[in-house]
Amino acid sequence: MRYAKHCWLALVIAVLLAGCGGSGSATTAPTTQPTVAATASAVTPVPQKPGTTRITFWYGLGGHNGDVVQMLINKYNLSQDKYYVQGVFQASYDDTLSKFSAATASQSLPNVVQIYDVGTQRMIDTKKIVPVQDLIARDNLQSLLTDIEPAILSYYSIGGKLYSMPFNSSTAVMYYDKNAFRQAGLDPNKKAWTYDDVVAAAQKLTVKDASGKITRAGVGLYGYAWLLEQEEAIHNALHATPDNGRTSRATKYTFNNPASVQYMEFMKKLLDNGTATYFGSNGTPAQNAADAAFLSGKTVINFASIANLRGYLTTAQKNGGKIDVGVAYLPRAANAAGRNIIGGASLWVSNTGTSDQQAGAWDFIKYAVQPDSQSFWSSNTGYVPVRLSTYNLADMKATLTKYPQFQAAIDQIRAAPTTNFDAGGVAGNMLTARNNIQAVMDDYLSGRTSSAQTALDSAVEKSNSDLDEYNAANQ
Amino acid sequence: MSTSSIRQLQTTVTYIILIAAALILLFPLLFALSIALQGETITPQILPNLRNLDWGVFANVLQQQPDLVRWIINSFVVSSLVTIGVMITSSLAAYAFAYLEFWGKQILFVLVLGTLMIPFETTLIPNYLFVSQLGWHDSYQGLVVPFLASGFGIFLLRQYFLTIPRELHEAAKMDGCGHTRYLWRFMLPLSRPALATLGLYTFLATWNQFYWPLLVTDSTQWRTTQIGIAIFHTSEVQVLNIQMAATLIILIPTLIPLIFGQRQLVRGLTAGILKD
Repeated sequence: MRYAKHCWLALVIAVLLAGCGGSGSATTAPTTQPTVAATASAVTPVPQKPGTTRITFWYGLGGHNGDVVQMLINKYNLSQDKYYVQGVFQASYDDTLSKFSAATASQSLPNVVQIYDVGTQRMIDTKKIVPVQDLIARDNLQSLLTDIEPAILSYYSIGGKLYSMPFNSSTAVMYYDKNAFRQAGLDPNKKAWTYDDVVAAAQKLTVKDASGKITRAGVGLYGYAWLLEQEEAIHNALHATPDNGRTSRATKYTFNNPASVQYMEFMKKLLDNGTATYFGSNGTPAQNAADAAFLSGKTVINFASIANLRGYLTTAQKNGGKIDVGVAYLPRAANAAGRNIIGGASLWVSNTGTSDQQAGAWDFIKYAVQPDSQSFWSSNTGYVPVRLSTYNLADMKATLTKYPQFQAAIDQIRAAPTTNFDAGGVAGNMLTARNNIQAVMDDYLSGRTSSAQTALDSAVEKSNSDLDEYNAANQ
Repeated sequence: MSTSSIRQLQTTVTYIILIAAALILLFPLLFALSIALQGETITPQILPNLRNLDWGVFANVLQQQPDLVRWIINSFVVSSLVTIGVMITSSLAAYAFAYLEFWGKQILFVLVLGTLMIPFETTLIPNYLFVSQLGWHDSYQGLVVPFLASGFGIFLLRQYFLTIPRELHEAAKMDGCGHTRYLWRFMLPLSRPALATLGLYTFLATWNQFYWPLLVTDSTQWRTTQIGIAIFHTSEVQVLNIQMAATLIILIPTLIPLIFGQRQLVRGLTAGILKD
């Protein structure tokens, strides 16, 4: 009894003390520290200059990339005297969008918000946004539009109208270990691989011990709907109809097309041949496992975002430089006529706030994608620059020299002209559809279902009934 | 074999089983520690290289995000206030439902039970709009007030209060003990196991809240731990050591109420076991 009393007393005191300490630092914390962009410590926001209009900017990038976002914000705030951008980290892309949706009914929407690739239709349906193309047209900035990488421009455009400003874009590539390729007598510099090429190469790359156990698999696989969407675009197959949601609202998913089936069967063949390891389809954990296996030499080929390149190179070097990371295009059928899509996130302007704030929001977005900002951004993160003129800058050229593998990713998204097919699909419930796809990918790749077509059919059916509900609620 | 050596053997076996069970239970923590100490890597091992442990990672976490301390304080304050608040409101309401006679008691109690069936997500948006209307964005009020009453707490304590013999209440009444005094001097001390359960549950549930604090806070200094540590999560390649170190750091404060509460809990499990 006495013991418990003491404990509660201690707790209450702790609470009171903490409360006092807390409120004290709350008033002083944001403005005390000057800008220091050291690599090891957090990037502190620069203080607001007096007389500047405050612009709120929500973003979902954490870790190192989040630090670079804050550095860019600091650069902007120091570069002019009219506006002050306050960056607010909202935990993740998912949480940023979900908080934005929740906040639409309140008065606390941000002026600028970073939303991931699959959020486009949902953002349009909040009716709280201003399409950036309207602002571009108002300011006669057509040159800005033509300077955006076509594959990136098309991904964020609907009905020929750019809705949000692309900011951080990446694309999927095929990573491989050049050393293992040389060892197996394969061309370490070949960029274009067909499905059959990869199947044959995997045979040569797989190493088994005396008991027949795989010690090194040719390919590391995981079910990732984004990769399936890439393959659809490469083969000019529609993810959703009509026209991938590019001309009017998508009403039905069609990802149970031959291109998807072919891709699923390609993966299954690698597994059935005993030349691949499967790491699951549960998102980040599966990707982490595949990354780790690739970098520790347990697999030779891995499919992932080009934004992973730096992490791969650093780790490969740290692990003794046994792996020589190469980048090639995603594998495809010999007759593939399209190009793959991009992923990442873009910046949206909300229609809330004063006209001054809205002007500031647009000013910041223009700053964030101007060539030198994009060069800074791309050189420090590994995303593909949004603006074509970025490549003329010395910084960007130096980055490409330092990371020659990066070029393959850029060439890949320029491999074919833009159409509604290879612009990629947009629909209201893209995230649910991706989850449904990954669930059936897991069933199929781990052998619980035997037909890729049936598996995809069931995912389409599920995603469609969900899409019907979404569309009914958001007409 | 003598009896003492048999006993010794029994003890040894018991300890081996206990250690094995402890290891299984602690595995997630130990594994997190193992990854944290391996240095910056995308290719972690199950066990770290014992000759090259990176203890500096914990300092790194605090250096990278000095706000982590503030987030822990926020979470601790919010969780403690909610816990104390829930214990007060629940015990008062439970006492009324258990001992007082008033009009509509049954209906009100059913209503309280009914709140248990309403998922948190349904009330989220109305609550959020209400709280932002009050201007409680970025404040302790916004984080604490919506959780101060709990249908579960009322139900739990009422059921527990009902197990305490009514005769005690009558005897106390005879001696001139009022309701407040009876609640404070008799019911609460007697209900310590139930209170400890409720307190621990509430503390941990509040500590682990994610979506509500995300909605009602925007500035870094008002964030709570669960949102705060998301900043260590990278969107591309996952470097795990820093994430694990940060997770371990925010786990420690949750052990405080557990250590204090466990005594009450264990007592609760065995209380009255011999009487019935």
